[in-house]
Amino acid sequence: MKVFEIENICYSYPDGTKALNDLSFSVYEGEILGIAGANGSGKSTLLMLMMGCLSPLHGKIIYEGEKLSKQKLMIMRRETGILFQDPDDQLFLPTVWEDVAFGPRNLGLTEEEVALRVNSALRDTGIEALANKAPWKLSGGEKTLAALAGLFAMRPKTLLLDEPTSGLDPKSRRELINIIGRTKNTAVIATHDLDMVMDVCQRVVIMKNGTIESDGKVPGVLTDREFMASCGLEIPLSLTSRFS
Amino acid sequence: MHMADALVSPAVGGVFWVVSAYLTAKSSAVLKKSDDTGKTALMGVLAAFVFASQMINFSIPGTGSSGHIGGGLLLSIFLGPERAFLSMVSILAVQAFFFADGGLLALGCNIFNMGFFPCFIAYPFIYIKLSERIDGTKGIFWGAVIASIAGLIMGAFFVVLQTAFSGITSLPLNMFMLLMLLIHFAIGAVEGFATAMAVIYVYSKMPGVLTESKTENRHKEMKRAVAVFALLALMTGGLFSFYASSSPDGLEWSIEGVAGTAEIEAPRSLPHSFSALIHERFAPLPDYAFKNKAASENMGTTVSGVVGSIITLAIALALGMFFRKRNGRQ
Amino acid sequence: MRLKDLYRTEIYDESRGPFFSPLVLLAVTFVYTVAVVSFDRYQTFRMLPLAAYPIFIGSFARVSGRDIFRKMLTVLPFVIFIGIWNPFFDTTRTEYLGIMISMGWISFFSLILKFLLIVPATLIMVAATGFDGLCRTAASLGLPDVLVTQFFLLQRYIRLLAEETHNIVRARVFRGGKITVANAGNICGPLLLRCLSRSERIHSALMCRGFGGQLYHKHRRENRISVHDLIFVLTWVLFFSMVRIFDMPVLIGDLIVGCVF
Repeated sequence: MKVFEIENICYSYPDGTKALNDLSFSVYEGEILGIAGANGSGKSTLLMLMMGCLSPLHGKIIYEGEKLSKQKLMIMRRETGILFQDPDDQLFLPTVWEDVAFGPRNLGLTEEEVALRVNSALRDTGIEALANKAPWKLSGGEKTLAALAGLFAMRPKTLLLDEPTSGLDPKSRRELINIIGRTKNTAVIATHDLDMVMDVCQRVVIMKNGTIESDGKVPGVLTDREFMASCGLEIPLSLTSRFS
Repeated sequence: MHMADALVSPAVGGVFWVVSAYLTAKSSAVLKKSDDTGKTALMGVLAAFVFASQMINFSIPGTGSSGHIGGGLLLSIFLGPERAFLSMVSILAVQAFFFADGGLLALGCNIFNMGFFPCFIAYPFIYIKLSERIDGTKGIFWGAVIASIAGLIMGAFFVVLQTAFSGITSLPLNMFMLLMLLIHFAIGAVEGFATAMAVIYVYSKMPGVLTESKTENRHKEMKRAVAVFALLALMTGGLFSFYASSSPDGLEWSIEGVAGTAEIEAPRSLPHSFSALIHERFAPLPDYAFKNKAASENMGTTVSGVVGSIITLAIALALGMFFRKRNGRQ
Repeated sequence: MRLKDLYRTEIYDESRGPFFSPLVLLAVTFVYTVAVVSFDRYQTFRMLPLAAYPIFIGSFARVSGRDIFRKMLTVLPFVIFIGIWNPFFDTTRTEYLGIMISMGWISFFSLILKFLLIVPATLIMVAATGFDGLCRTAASLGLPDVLVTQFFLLQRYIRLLAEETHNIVRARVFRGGKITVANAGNICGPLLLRCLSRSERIHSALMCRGFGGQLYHKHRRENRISVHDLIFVLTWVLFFSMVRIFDMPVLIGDLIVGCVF
C-alpha cells in the first residue's frame, strides 16, 4: 500500500531559486526509502513539502489515498514524525524527559501512560541516562537521539529523517543506524551518507538539481561509479575495496 | 531606560504592575480567542532574536557611543501588537531577572514604558500609517524611525513621571524631563535606524512576511482596552506636565516632609497627596530617624547602629552556611 | 549584556533540583524588594539589616559574588544618573554620622544603598532557581498559556541565538569588519531571516507532536508547598516587618554596646 504519493510537484523559493522540478515517486508501507543527493539537490525541500510546511507550486501530494487537505494534513502530521537536520529545532523543553513527554501529553494520555511511553522511547533510543539533562547541555549525537525519542513517543506510522547522521561521530552514527534498522516503521531518509543507505534502506531515490535521476533497489545504481559521480556522489565505501 | 527597583516606590510599582498585568491578560485572552497557534514559535524565536541582537552594540560613527535594535517595534512589525506585547513582557522579565536590567517591582513600569507604547501606540498609529502612505522601503524606513522615536519618547516621559511620583529625585522636573526626552530622542533615532535596516533587509528577501502580519484583524475588545489606557496615560501625562511647568521647583515637597513642616499643612498638590497616601498605606509606623531632627542623632546611636548591622549580617551569613552544610549531609 | 552571563549565573543544576521552591523564593524576594523601597528617601543604615536575606540565600546556595558584582556594575550608571542630581538641588544641611552634610547626599546614598540591596537579591534568586525554575513558577502561578509557552521557548532559544550572533560578530571582527549602525541591516538581517525559517521548522515540529497551544503541561506535584517552605516564608516576612517597624541596628547595637561598656 502506498503511504505517500508525490505527483509531478514543482517548487521554487520566493526569491526565484528553483528547488524541485516535476518530481514523482511513491513511498510504500513498511519500506525504508533512502533519498540520496548532493548538497542543494532538493532533499530537505522535498521533506518539507511532504510535511506540508511548504506548499508545492504544481502537482500534488497524496497521503494514504487522499489529497492533503487541511484536515488530512492534521491527520498526516499526527501519524508522521519528522527529524530535522538541526535537532535544536525540535527540542523545546527544559529536560529531555519532559521534551519526550510533550507529544504524548498533547494526545491527552494519563500521566501513567505518558510515563510508560516516554520510558520506552528513551529505552529504544538508549538515552535513559540523559532523562533529566537540559537539551543545551547535550552533544550533537545525544540531541539527535533525544529528538528521535520525542518522535518515537508519538508512536508514528511513518518517519521522515532529514540528514540524521550529519555531524555525528562514528559511534553515535552507528547507534543511530542500529536504531533506524530496528524500527518497523515506514521511513524516508534524506541523506548523502550512502553507507547508511546500504545498511538500512531497501530502495533508494537519487536526486540531482531538483529532479529524480534514478529510483530502484539497493544496491542497484549505488555501484555505478560514473553515474554516482555525475550526481555529485560517490559509491559507498563498503562497496569499494580500499586496498586494491 | 529600564526603571530600577530602587527608583520606584511600592505604590508606583504596584499601580503599573496592575496596569501591565491587565494588558497582558487581555492580550492573551485575545490571542486565545483567535486560536491561531501559527505564530507561537515565531514569537519565541523573535524574542530570543531581539535579545541576541541587543548583545551587538553598533557603534555610531563620529560619536563614540553605540546603540542597538529596538525591541518593541521590530516585534510588532513581524507579530502584530498583541503578540509583540507578550514577547516584550517575556523579554523584560528575563532582563530584570538575569541582567539586573529593571527589577521585580519595577517590571510593571518597564512593561508599560517599553511594551505598551511601542506595540499598541507607535506601531499601529505611526508605523502602519506611514508605511501604508509611502511605498516600498522608504515607507518602512521613515515609519520605523519615527515610530521608534515616538515610542521611546513616550516611554521616557513615563520614566520621568514614575520617578517623580516615587519621590526619588530632587532634580527640577522640567530639567529632568528635557534631559530624558533629548537623550531618548537620540536613542530612538539610532534604534529606529537599526530596526529599519534589518526590516528592509528581510523585506527585500521575503516581502510576503511583512504583509501577512499587517492584514491581521485586531480584536475590538483589545482596541477598547488600548483606547482606555492611552486616554489614561494622556490624562496623567497632561496633569503631570501641567504640574511640572507650574512649579519649577519640582519635588520640594518631600524635603518639607522630612523637615516636618509640611506634615501639618494641608496637602497642596497632587504629588504631595500621592506621597502622603504612600506613607499611610505602606509605612506601618512613621519614620523616626530624621523626624526628631537628624542633628540629634548623636555618635552613640551611630555606633550602636553600625555594630547592630554588622552583627545581624554576620548571623545571616553563618546561618546560611550552617543550613547549607546540613542540607549537604542529608 | 554578555553571552557568558546567561550561563554563568545559573548555578542551579537540573538534575539536583532547586534548593528552594522557586515560587517561595520569588514571593520572599518580592516582599523583600517592597520592604527595601518602602523606606524613606533619607533612610540609610536602618535598612541595612535587610541585607541578611541576600546574604543568607547567597551563602546557602553558594552564588559567586564576583559575577553578581559585575552585573551590578553594568546597570549602576542609570541609577547614578537619576540620583546624582540630588546633592546639587537638595542642599539643606544636616548633621549625619557626626559630620555636616547636605540632605541631597544622604538621599543619594540611600538610593545607592537600596540598589545595592535589591539587585543582588534578585540575581541570587535567579541563580538559585534557574531559568526553567522561573518558567515553571510562571506556569504554576496560572499565567496564560501563551505567555508560559513564550517563556519556555525564549529560555530554550535564547542561548542558541546568542551563540549564533556571537559567531557572526566574531567572524566579522576577525576579518577586520566594523560593527556600525550603517551595516546593521547586513548583520541583523541575515540573522533575522534565519530566525524566520527556524521558527517555521519549530512550528512544524510542534505541529507534528500535536501542539495545541500549551507547551508545558504542569503537574500537581509542582504546586505543592511544604511546611519547610511555609516556615521559610513566615520567618523572613516577620524579619522584614521587624526591620521595617523597629530601628533594628540601634536596638541590637544598644544591647551589645550596653553589655560591653
